[in-house]
Amino acid sequence: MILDYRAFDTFGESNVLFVATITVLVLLHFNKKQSKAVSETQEISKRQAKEAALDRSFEPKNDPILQCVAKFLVPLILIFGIYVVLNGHLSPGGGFSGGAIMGAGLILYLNAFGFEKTERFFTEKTYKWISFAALTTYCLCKTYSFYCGANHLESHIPLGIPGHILSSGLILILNICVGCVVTCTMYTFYVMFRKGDF
Amino acid sequence: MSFVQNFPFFSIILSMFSGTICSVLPRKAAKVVNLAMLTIVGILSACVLGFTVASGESYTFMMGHFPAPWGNEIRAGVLEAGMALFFCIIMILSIVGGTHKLDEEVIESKHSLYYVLLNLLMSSLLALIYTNDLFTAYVFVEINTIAACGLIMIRESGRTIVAATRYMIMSLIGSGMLLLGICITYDLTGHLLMLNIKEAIAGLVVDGRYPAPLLVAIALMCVGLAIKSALFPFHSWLPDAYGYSTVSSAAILSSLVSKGYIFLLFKIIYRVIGVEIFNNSRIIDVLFIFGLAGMIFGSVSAIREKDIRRMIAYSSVAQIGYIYMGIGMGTEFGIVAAVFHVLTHAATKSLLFISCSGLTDVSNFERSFIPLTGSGYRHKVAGVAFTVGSLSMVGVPLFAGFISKLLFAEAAVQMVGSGKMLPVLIVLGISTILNAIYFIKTVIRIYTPVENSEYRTIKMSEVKLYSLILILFIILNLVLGCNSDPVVEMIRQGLGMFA
Amino acid sequence: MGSNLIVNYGEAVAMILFVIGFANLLLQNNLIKKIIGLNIMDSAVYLFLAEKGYIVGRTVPIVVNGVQSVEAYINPIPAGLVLTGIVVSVSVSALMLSLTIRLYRRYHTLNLDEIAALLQKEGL
Repeated sequence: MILDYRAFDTFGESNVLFVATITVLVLLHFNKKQSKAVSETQEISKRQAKEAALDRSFEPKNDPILQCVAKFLVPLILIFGIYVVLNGHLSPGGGFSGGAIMGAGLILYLNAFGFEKTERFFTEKTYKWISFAALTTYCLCKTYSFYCGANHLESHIPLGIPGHILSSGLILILNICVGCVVTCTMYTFYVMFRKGDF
Repeated sequence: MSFVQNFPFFSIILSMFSGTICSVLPRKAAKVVNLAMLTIVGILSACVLGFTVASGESYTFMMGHFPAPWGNEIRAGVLEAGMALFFCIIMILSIVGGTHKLDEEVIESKHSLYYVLLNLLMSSLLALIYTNDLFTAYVFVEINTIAACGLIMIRESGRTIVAATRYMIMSLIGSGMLLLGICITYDLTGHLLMLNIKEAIAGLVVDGRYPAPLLVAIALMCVGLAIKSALFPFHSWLPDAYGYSTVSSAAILSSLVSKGYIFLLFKIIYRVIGVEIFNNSRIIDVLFIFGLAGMIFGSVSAIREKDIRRMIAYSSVAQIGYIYMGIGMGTEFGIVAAVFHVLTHAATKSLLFISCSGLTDVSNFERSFIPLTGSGYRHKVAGVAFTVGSLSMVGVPLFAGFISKLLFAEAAVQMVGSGKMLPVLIVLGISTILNAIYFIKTVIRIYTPVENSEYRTIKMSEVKLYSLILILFIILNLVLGCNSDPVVEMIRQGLGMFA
Repeated sequence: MGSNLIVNYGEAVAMILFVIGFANLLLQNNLIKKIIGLNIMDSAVYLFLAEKGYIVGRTVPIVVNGVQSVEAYINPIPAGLVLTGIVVSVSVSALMLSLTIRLYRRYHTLNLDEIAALLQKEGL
C-alpha cells in the first residue's frame, strides 16, 4: 500500500527522516579536527567545553553479562530485521519496521562492545553514502514508474507470481532502500545523542 | 501529452535528488549544484508557465498507474507555475546575496549541510505548490518545517537555538491541528484527492448532514496553517528567528517559508472546501479579525524596536496580516490582492534583509540605531536598496507595495454592502501611517551625515557580486511596481483555473 | 449524543488525549514535558485514524488463502497514513530532543522561562 499507491508520500517521508538527521548533525556533530577553532569563536566557557568532552567520551565499562548476551542476540536481531524487510510485500512488516529492528540491533552492538569496534565499520562516510545510494535508487525507480504512468506508457517491470518473494515489481527494491535509510537514521540519532561523533 | 507537461514532476524530483547529492559533496561543489538546480528549475517553471498560459487551462499529472480517486496527482496551472518561477528567482538572489555572511558566521564543515537544507526546502515548496492531494501536502509541510528550523539554527548562538525551539513548538502545534483536520476530512468524505473531497463536501452541505464535524475540520485546517504562517497571536517566534539567524536564512524564511503555507491555504480554500462554503462559515471572519489586528500590532511593535533586524521582522508580522485580511474579505478581488501581496512581500522583504546586512557591515557589525547613523553614505548601494525597500513597504507609487495597497483598497470598495468595507479602509490607512513612521525614520537616520566616523566605508567595486544582487532586487521591485498589469492579469487567469 | 460517544469510545478517547497533549505542548514550562505532550498529541491522532479504518467483522488486509474480494478486509489506507505519521513524529521528536540537549549544555536548565531570563542578560 505505502510503496505503490502512496509511493510519493513514502518518498517524502524518507526525506523527512533524511532532513531530520541532517538537522541533528548540524546541531550535535562535534568534529574533533575543528574543536580548537570552535571553542575560541563561540562563547562557551572552558568549564562547559570540558564537561561536554567528558560527556562525549564516557563509555560504559565492559560488562561480561551484556557482552555474552549480545554475542548471541545481535546476529539474531539483524537476521530477523532483514527477514522483515524482505517479506514486506507478503506479510506484515516492510521497510520501516525492519529498519527499526536492524537499527536497534546495531545500537545493542554499540552498547555492548564499545565505541572502537563500531567505528571500524560505521563512519560518517558510511552513513552519507548509504543514504545517498538508497534515496537515489528510490528516486530513480519511482521516476521511471511515475513517468510511465503519467504518459500512459507501458512499464517493463516483471510482476512475477503473487506470493513469491521475487514478485510485485519494484516493491522489493523500494523496501530494501527504505530499510537502509531507517537503519542508518536510527543508528545516527543514537550515536549523535551519545557521543556527538561517529 | 506533450513533454513540457512532465516538467513540474521533473522539477520536484530534481530538487530532491540534488538535496541528497549535496550531502556527499564538499562545500564548493555543493554550492554549485544548489545554484545549478535552482536555475534549471526556474527555466523548467518558465516553460510550464508559457505552456499553461498558451493552453488556457490547468492539467493534472497522474503519479503512477492508478487513475483519479485512488492514485496520487499533481496539478499545474498558470498560478502554480508562476509562483514556482518567482520562488526560484527569490531563492537564487537571497542565497548569492548572503554568501559572504555565510562564510563569516557558520562553521565550515556545516556549509554542505546548509545547502542540503536549502535544496530540500525548495523541493518541499515546489511540492506544496503543485500537489493535488491532501496527505502529500501534510508530509511536505513537515519537510518544510524541519528544513526551516535547520536554516534558523545553522548559525550557532544562544539566541538562535532558543528561537529555533520556540519556532518548532509553535509549528508543531499547527501541524498537529492540520493533521487532525485532514483526518476528520478523510473520515467525512473518504477521499484524499482535493477535487473528490470538494464534490463530497458539496454533497454533504446540500444534504445538511454532519454540519458540526465539517465546521470543526475546516476550522482545524485553516487555523493550523494560520499558526504555521505566523498570524497575529501566534507570531512570538518571528522576531527572534528572523532577527538573529544568518542573512540568507532570514531572507528565505521571511519571503518563502510562510508563503508556502499561505499558498496551501489558498489551495484548500479553492479546491477542498470550495469558495462559497468557506465564505459562509465563520472561520473567514476569525481570519479577517486576526489579520486586521496583526496589521496594527505588528507596526506598533516595530516602532518600539531598537534593533534594525527585529524591526524588519516585526514588519513581516504586519504584512502577513495584510494577506489574511485579503483572504478574510471573501471576494475574488480580495484573493487577487492577497496573491499579489505575496509576490510583493517576498521581493521586498528579502531586499530589506540583504541590504540591512550591508548597512550593519559598515557600522562595526552593530545593529542598533545609533551606530547605523549615516551608514547610507558609507555603503552607497546598500543605502539605496534599503531606501527602495522601505518606500515599497510604505506604499509610495512607482514601487511594488503601492500596487498591492491599491488592489486591497479596490477590493474593499467593491464590497459596499457588507460590513467589512469600512474597517478595511480605516485599518489600511492607519497601518500605512504606522509603516511610514518607522521606515521613513530609519531611512532618514541612515542618511544623516556624521562627521569623523571611525567606521569603515565599503565601495561598490569591492563587493561586486553583492551590489549586482541588490541591483537585480531593485529592478524586480520596479518591474512589479511599474508593469504590474500583466502580472495581475496572469493571477486572475490562474485563479480562474484554480478551482 | 451520549450513546454515540460510548459506541465510538475509541475516537472519544483519542480526542481527550489530543487535548491533553496539546495543552501540555503549549502550557508546560519544562522542555521535556513539552516533548512528551507532543508525542501524546501525535499518538492521539494516529489512534483516531486507526479507529477510522476498522470495519466490524473483517480482518487484516493481507491476502490469505487466495481470498481476494474486497469485502473480507478492512480499509488499508489509514494504516498507510498512520505509518507515515509515526515516522514524521519520530523525526520531529529527535529534532526537539537535540535542541533540548544543546540548550541544557549551554544554560544548565530545562525551564524555558529561566532560559529567556538568562538570554536577556546575554549579548548577541
